[in-house]
Amino acid sequence: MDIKVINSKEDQAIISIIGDLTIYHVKKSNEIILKNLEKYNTIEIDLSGVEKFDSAGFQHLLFIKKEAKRRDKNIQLINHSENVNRVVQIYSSSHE
Amino acid sequence: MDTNSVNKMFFDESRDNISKIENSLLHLENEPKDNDMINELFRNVHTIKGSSGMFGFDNIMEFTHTFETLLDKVRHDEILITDEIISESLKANDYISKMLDLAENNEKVTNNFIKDGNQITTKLQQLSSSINEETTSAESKQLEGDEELVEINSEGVAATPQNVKNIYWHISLRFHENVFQYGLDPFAFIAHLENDGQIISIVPITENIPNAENYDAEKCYLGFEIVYDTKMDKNSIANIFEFVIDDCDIIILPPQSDIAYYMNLINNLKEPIELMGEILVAAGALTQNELNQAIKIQNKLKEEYVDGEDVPLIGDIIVEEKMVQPSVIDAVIKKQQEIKKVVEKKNRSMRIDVAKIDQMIRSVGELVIATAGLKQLSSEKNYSSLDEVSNSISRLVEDIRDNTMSVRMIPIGETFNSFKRTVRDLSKSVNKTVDLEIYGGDTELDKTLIEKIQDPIMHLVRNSIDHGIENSDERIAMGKPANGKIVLNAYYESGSVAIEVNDDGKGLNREKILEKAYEKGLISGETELSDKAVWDLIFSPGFSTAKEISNVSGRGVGMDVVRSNVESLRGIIDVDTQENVGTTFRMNLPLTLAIIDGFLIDVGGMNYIVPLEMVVECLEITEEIKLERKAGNFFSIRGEVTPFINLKDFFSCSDNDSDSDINISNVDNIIIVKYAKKTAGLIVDQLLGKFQAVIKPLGKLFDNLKWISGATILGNGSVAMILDVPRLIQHVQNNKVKIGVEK
Repeated sequence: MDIKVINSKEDQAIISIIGDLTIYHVKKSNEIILKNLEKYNTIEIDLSGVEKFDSAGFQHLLFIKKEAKRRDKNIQLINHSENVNRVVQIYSSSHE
Repeated sequence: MDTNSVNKMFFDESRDNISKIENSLLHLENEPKDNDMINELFRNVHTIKGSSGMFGFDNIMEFTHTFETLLDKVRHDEILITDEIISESLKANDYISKMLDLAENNEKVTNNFIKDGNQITTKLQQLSSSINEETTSAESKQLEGDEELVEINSEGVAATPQNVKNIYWHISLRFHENVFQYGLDPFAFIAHLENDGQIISIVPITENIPNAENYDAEKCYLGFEIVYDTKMDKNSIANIFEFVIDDCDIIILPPQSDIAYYMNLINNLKEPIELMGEILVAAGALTQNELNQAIKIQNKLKEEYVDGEDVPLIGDIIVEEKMVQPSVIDAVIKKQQEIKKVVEKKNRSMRIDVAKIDQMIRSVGELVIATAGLKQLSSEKNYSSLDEVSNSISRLVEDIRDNTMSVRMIPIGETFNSFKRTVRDLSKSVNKTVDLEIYGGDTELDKTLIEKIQDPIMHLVRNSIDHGIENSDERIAMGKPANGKIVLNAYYESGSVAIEVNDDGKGLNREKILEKAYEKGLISGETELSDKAVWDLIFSPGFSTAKEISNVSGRGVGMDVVRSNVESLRGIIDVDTQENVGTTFRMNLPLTLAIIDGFLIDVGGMNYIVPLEMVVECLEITEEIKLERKAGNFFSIRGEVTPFINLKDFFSCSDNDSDSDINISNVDNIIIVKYAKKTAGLIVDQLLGKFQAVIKPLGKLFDNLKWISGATILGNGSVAMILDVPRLIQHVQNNKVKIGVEK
């Protein structure tokens, strides 16, 4: 997994995740994103390059969104890859 | 198909339906809220109505219509099932059955019969029109709207079960923290759900994800509330999660569960109640109304516990959740499987005229005899390839014989079940409460036997209820449970089927029996009798201990008739009793009436057959055994004292059968036979081996032959007598008693 800030200005940044985002990678991803959350107020996370994606990855994304909210900051998930979409769709089917 | 056979089909099917209706009613008497059963009941009555109309039995149709109307109201919850409804329905069912009998036999309907029918009809109409107050008030409550509380009875459970509207399964999942570390991915299991059904909605529970300080990205904090549509049963759903079962908490609620189970679910989860409530509503598992109702129950309970005690959660009150829930779900599953079973059975069986089967069995009988002839011939001709063919033919014939006989075998369960009604009605009429337990219902017996054994069982059951079981007050005074118990049991036992009727009543009374027997002149005053001999007295003709003839055993049939019935089936009856503990009547019946595996023996140049299932072993009589012979007719075989008779002496000089010094110096073969737990030895001249015997009745002329139960034809055309081993054993055992007393 490759995770880096690809674009930043003032208090905004885009972080791109390339490769797998699974139980083997969430720890590292978590550290990097939390660190950036201290620097920037708004972060967009580009998921277009995510390959393998599992429940740990899903929980990781839930967590950083929740954590950002707690700190009054904003994290946006953008450009979900197909693998991410598949998991998110099943995990959030709604009856409405 | 001519009209007759079509009509016969109508009668057969209607009778089936009548017995189903009876079973449903008896079931509903105990579980009046079983909606499936109510529906089945209605369908069966409806079928009778429909088909009787179709076949032009208008009187049956009209009568059944009133019955159906009542059940329709029950079905739509307009009327609640009461004892009165059950007993009137049973009466109505009986009446339909009688109408069928009359119609089938083309008998004339009497005025009295019509009067009875009208009475029942009026009663049914009354019941139909008496709209139940309880239901009406419940309905009005619902109309009043959401504010109304569900009634709570003393146990804190909603008095009437409130089933939620949700028609889907609900699965609540909470994964343990270490799931990821074990290499398990919850996603795999949830995605699997999609294979066998459809996830209607799913809400991830994020409540347990901690703040950054405590968050460990490699631990799992996830949970899910899933609304799931599937045709699977609970076990199959649970099986999907089998691999992860130790690492998650899972609760599965079946469709339309009682709202209390949802309340319980909410209470059992760590998350705040309000949040979980909202989540369940969001997921579509509960409606907002249902949730409000549930929370109100909870609050009401809180008010009742003011003293700072822990407020009992509803879950705790409805017995521990884990105790109640599986049983409810198991009940659902059981029902599903029962329905499945019935459907399978229906598809796999067909109706066959009994006469056709009887014809087939007669042919197979002749085939068996013919094969025996072939075998005899081939062994005489000493022609090896013919021998081979005849051997394989006789093996095949044996197969055919077994299969044919098994067609006639039917499980006794249905017969046993029919006694539920008898026990219910009889015990009510004598003001006793009696439970009926049934074991060994899948034991199979010949169809004719089952038909003929019904009366003896009926008589024994009547006897138990009338004389055996005490009324509740007496029972309580004796420290017994207030409800009496009758157990019907059937099982296989050395070549026979044993049927037991057991009660836990007061047992036979030795003094009373002796008194009565003396009064009737059955015994003389001085005779000392063993317990066994005393119990046997009750089977004597003209013996009845009932002081007054009651409704129950007022059929004018004594135990002697029961015994002769059983004996006419080549069976024997036995009684075991213990004062204040109970009485067991045991009937041993032959497995079949037509063809048996026999053991061919030679006694004084005559051939005899011993039923093979009763043969325990064949022994050569060694000098040693002869030396060890005790006085009278006993051998000690491997330390077991075994009474015996010499068949040659027994049959050639039967007037001398009590002689105690049987000559055994020249004999060398003995067969040990066993029936109904008793053994005896039969001394014979020669053992000739296994033989398939087609039992031919001996006809009226030889009806009184005591030791012979039938005859068969051997391969060479000669006749062999089939020994009545049960009776022989009884005789030998009785002789043993005599000799024992003399000593």
